[in-house]
Amino acid sequence: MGTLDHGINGPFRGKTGEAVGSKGKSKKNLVRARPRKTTKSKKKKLLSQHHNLGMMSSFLSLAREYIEIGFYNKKNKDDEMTLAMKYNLAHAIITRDDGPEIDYAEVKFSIGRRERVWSEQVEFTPGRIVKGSWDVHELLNMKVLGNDRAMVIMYDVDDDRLRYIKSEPLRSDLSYEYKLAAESVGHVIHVWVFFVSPDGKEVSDSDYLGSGTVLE
Amino acid sequence: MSDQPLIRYGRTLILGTTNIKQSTAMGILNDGPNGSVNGKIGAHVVYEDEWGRQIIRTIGVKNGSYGGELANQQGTALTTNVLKPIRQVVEIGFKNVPPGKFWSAYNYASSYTKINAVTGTYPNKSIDFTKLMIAKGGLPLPLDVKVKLEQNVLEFTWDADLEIEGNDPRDQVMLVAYFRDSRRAINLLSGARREAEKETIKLPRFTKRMVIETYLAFVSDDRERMSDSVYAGQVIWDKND
Repeated sequence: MGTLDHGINGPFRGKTGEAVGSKGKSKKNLVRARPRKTTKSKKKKLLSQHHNLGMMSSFLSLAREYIEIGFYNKKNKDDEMTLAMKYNLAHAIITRDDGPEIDYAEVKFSIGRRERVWSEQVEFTPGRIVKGSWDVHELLNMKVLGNDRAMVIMYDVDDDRLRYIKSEPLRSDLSYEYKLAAESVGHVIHVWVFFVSPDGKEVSDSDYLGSGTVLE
Repeated sequence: MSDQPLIRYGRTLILGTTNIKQSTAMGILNDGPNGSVNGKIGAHVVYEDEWGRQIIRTIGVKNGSYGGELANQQGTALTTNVLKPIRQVVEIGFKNVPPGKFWSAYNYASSYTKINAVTGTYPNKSIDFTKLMIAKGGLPLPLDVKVKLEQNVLEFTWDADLEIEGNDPRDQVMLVAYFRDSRRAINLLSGARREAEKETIKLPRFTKRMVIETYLAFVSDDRERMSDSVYAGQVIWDKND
């Protein structure tokens, strides 16, 4: 894989003849050879690997903006999505009777040293309301950690999309409440949260708050 | 000298091997041919660690892990999982015991935990929480360490026995409450004095059953000396209790 500076025609994205252009970490313009077609039959293990890769990649792509914060690692040459894929493929795939699927409780959108959430839970109440809450323990320095931004991730399984909270709560708020769109009624929503320091340099591990069905 | 390729110095002086292609040389020779190398040379990478040592190791894509390597990886993963949430305590508790200047307190704690507190055979290795240590040192241990849970408060008690030589009433207690299922911990770095014989940790409100492993150690008033840690016991929080 090569990097492409401005060149004669500048960077490009996608297939151009035998080359494929893309953007990498730090917005570097990359160019690589087009993947070759194989004539060998795919083995079961490889097929399963391809299936998991596609499934996890399309799920995590929805949360790209959170992952770019949560998996940011200046020292690692891999970009944030690559690190998130690596972690979640290893930890968040579960094999059931009808094949592998995503284990939402194990999915991580961030990994870091900041204090994690405590006593997390989520509740769905009539009126399309989702209420998430967490707690802090008495030894937590709230002067330092109280202003951490809570990044709340809500995934609508039926629509295969994320639902966004317009204003991010703080750790010291200990809860958030959000009214979901009317189209979400009856849909299953999974919720996660992680904290980001006010200067944006430190994150906590993300934690799964739970899931539920949106009530009318 | 200047028209000779850089790799020649690297190969002769540092690596002493001939299996590296000249075309892949990317290392930078600091301070001329007798100085140090920094960077990637073929299948090796050379760099300086935090203690100023020149490190050279192979680098490249691994093609799977087998046998003992997987067992070793599982031991390391278990150790990291248990030490990461209590890192602050461990960095104080183990700061006097590293055997040489190339060890940090956390390195030593990892090594100690992996050797002493990881039990079982792959793929069923696990942490023996009774053998986990959060501190090591020469301060005297307290007698009769107990822990109990009441109204969401963990209460640690001990017998200071101040007559024992080396016991200082101004030593401070360090406490750890480790939640084994969620792999989180509450760390108290500077608690009550030894003479107080009691310290508490108020827990957050929980919604599901929690298994808590508890530890206690003492640190001197100047924070330079520690005691060994004591496993205070396992406490179970259940909303039905």
